[in-house]
Amino acid sequence: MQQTADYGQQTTDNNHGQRTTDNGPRTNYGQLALWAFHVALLTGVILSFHYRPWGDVFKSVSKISGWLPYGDFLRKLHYLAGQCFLILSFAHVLEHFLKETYRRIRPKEWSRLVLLFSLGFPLLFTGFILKGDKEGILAGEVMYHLAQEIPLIGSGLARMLLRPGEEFFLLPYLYHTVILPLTVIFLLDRHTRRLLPRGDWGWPFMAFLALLATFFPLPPDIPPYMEISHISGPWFFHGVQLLLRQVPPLWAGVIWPVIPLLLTALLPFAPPKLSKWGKRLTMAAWLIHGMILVAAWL
Amino acid sequence: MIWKYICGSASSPLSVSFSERPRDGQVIFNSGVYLIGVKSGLLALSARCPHLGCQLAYNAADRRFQCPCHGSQFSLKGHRLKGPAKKEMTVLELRQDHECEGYKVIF
Repeated sequence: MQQTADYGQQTTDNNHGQRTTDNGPRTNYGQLALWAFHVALLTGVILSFHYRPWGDVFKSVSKISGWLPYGDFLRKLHYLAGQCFLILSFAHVLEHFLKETYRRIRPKEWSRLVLLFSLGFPLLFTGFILKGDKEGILAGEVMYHLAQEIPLIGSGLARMLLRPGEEFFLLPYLYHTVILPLTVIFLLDRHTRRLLPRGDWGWPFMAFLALLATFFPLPPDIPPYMEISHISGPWFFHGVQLLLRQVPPLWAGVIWPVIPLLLTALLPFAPPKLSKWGKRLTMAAWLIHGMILVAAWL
Repeated sequence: MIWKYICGSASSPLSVSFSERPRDGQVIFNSGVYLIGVKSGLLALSARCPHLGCQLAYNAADRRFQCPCHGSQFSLKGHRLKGPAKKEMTVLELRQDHECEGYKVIF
């Protein structure tokens, strides 16, 4: 008997001891996220042949965009697929959160899904650093210094994430191209029991991504030597960036971003009496996050 | 203590060179170091923001250093003016190096 997390499929086999099929959402966010991940993975493999995480990384990226045949298209497709993976994973989790699927499946299964979604953030963040432009370098510096703010393990953790100097991009590169994708693949395998995506919307979605990549302009890369008065991190980090202006780094940049993810992951573990409050608290944390993010965009 | 030669050999990965001595009030930037001409001589400041390590930009109009990431601002002497940074900019010890007619900074 196999459990799949594809609640939209008309399957009756599961090993959770409960029938999730009838109650589960029927939209395709999860499947589309899987498609997006595969597109990002495939384009990432091609890009990695031409990317050098040492020396003049900005030049390496500029060469990919300017000289590699279809390089700019591949970069855009990789970027868009990555963004879609995060957004669709969020939609997938949100859908199941609102339908309270976490009450009906094993807690471990739910936590795995939330972890899978959470990994989208470091994947996109390391990708942002690897652009090698001014924004990427400063995002790396901020990540390094934020990690150092964590008591006791901070400095060791920071050195595990990034090494300033010649090898600045090496560790983010390893995380982005090897460690995080392999972890996602492992979790996807555990979550869906199949790695290849399926679903009727897959090919139209791919066509949509390709079309978007053809006409969508990438945010401009800022040369590392250029002095500018304002630098932005990745879009999902703008709220945290805004908070960092007011709140101590440990709270704004480490504890606060983890809270909604942790609350979501721990939902099934809440005692039945507190379950409703757990959901409200989680929703409130996400809403406040969303509001700060919108405030940062405005 | 790490020695960083402002006029050191190009083969050293830590070396940075300043080809000119800044006049009074002038600010020169190279490889993460701001060299500022002050009345008493020269002042070398690390361009790294003491808040979260972003590289400070020099705003010539306001004559101050600004963090492009989180908005901290510092005076030409490295004193914190506003923003989330709690510390001043790091002042680097500066010594004249007669061998190569330049300046070296001690971190």
